[in-house]
Amino acid sequence: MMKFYESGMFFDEMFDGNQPKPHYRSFHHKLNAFPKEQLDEKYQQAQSSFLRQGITFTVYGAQGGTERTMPFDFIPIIIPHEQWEVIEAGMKQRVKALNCFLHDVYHEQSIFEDGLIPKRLIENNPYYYKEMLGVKVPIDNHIFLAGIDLIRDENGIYYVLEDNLRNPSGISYVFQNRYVMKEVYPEFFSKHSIQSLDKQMAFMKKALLAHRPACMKPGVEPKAVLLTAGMYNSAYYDHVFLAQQLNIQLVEGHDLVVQDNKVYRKTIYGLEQIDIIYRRIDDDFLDPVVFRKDSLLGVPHIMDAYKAGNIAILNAVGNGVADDKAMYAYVPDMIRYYLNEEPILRNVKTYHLDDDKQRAWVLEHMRELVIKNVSASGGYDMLIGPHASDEEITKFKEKIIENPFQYIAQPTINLSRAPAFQDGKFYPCHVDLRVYVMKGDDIYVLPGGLSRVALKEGSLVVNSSQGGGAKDTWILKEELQYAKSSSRCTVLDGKI
Amino acid sequence: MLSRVADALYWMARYSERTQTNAHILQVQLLNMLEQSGKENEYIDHWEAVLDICASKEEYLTFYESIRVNLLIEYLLFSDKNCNALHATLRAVRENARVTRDSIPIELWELQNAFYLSLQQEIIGRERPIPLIVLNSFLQNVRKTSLTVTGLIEGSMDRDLPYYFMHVGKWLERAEKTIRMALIILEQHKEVAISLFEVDGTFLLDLSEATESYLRKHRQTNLLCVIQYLLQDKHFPRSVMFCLQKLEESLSCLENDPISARYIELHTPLKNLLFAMMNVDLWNITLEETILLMEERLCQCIDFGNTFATIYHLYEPSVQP
Repeated sequence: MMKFYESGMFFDEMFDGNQPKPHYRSFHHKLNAFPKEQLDEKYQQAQSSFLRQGITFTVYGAQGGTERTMPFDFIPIIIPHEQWEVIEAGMKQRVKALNCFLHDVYHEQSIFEDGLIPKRLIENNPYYYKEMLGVKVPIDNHIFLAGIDLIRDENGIYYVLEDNLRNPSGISYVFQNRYVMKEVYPEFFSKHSIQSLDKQMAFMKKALLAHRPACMKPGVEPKAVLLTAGMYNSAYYDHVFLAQQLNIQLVEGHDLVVQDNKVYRKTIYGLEQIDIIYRRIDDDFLDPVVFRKDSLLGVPHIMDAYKAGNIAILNAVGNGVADDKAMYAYVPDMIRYYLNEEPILRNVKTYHLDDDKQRAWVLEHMRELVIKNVSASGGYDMLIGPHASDEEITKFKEKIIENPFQYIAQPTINLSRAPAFQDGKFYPCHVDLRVYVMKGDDIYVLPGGLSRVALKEGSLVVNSSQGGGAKDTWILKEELQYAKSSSRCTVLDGKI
Repeated sequence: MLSRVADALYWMARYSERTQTNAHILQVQLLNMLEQSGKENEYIDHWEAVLDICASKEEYLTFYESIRVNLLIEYLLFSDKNCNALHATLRAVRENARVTRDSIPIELWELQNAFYLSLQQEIIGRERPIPLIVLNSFLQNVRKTSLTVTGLIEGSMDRDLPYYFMHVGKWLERAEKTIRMALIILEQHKEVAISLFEVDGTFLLDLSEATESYLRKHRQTNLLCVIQYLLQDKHFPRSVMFCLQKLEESLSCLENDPISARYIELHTPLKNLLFAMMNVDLWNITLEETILLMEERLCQCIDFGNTFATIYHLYEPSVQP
């Protein structure tokens, strides 16, 4: 019999008290039948599979970069079908509204005219590019791939924590986690019927090719490439994986050249025009003539070709204006404004610190709140009130007073937990879920997503750059909700 | 295919070939030296030859004062100062494989990656000097991995552009290396009074992995006979002639059209080289003339490499035509 733990005051994905929830019963049963030694052995096997395949990311430190694998935990996050349907609908709604917003920002700006969002939020935003004003992007779509992070509170309610509309990474891990899971832990799949990932890339490819520049002749298949920052980039594996799966060439900035407002790749037979770039480098580095002059990753004059409508760049330039932590608070309003619908997924309450009243209240309640830099990510420049020292609190107060636009505050949420098996024992770890949404002519949501887990016991930070790991995510199919062996219980797991 | 990718494939193949040959040479020498005393001339000569074939003696002497075994082993296998040390060439193979991952079989990348990681783990951090038995088994592993790599490439790669770019890299590297080995051994005899007709070629046969093949066909191991064999034999897969024929094959597959400008531009110098190689006659010329001839052939190979790189835009030009 395995030794687990009690869910305690947190919402646990797998347990209610010390009993497994209905949709985890079958898995739990299987797990109990496993000798511990075999689990240890499988754990080693899984990690070495990642290493051998070079599925690593680079951690930047004092001595340059070191390669690490993302720690993998084999206990999946299992989501019942009905629950996933709600998440899926919520995601589609959110991405649709965010795309309308981006179009509005760079065209009519009606949402500001109508007073729903203060205009200074874009004016102060470093990712708001005036160069993009009036630029018509193919099929009016700014968001080809979004990564939207979900968390659950102590009652199991899902909240959107963050929208990533620039270059969300990690989608390859979703596929690799499933691959390793099938390879190393095939036993656990029996008696479960889950949504497969096999056909998903076809949707992504369809969405990608939908972005053909308007000037292209009909009937000609557009030529697409994936622009990477190169093999030393922390997400290089992601780039290789996607290029392979989408069957497009992986290029670096110096493989491309712009002539007469058209973009060409340098091949062994000379120059060849391309039509769609799925770029995985940030806006700042895209064109040294327009943005950062010191960028060696980009392609000079590519913005001219973009504005002339000769090339599609995905995701569109300037998306950062919609996914920073200050704009986040307004997404529910965007949904109401553009779609005339009520938001399906909730937002975490967010305090804007440039507002005098809100700031005063926040400064009084720092211990109960999380403070975040609006333009930072990866868990950097962030204060977790309940865990912070007096010194850190004072430092953040100074930062806020000095630069109130730069920070927001949110209540601390008792992040839900799920069991992890590391170093020979089970213990509860905080988790979140990054859901990937692809948009072309239609919107697709990848079933499941990347469940990220804070493997350091007690830690709240799930980012891979800060010691986080990943889990496979199973979306149960409708007909076999709770696996054959379990009861007929149809109670939903938590609420939406 | 992108020029950058073609370039990386070409260099991956070259470094892979270099690694395999150097590992063999080092293995030969490490066993060879067991029977020699450190004071014999031959011992020093052999190490100097190995040093010049696998790296450069001149460069070595800028870092170290004397030719000593442990220093040599460090320099030829692991040192960061030597860009042709096995560790460096293996790293180059891995990095080139990494950037061409979408053009080569997944297993090939995994094999190169796993081997490099095991090298890092098992050898690099080890206390020096590393025991001979460990070194030998490491070199054996390098060679075995190279053989698996060759098998994977030949057995599983489509006969398409990536394959032929790797092919050109491999055979050109091999041709240059064989000429270089012969050249270095010949140069060592410049200061010796013995006539070339009396010099033994066993060491060169061993270095060039030709002993088995050669002895099946010839009894005498005279140096000139050995060199003639290494240059001209049409069946031995390390002879220069064999490599040039393979290059010719690759070219016709890369360019299907034998009257295209690219094909003619590349094929003409190759044909000249083949012709020159066919007509080498070492018996009626002096040692100096032989050395000069070998140097010329080596330059022709290098020139061919440059032409190949220019025609396929392998060296990144700032603006392409």
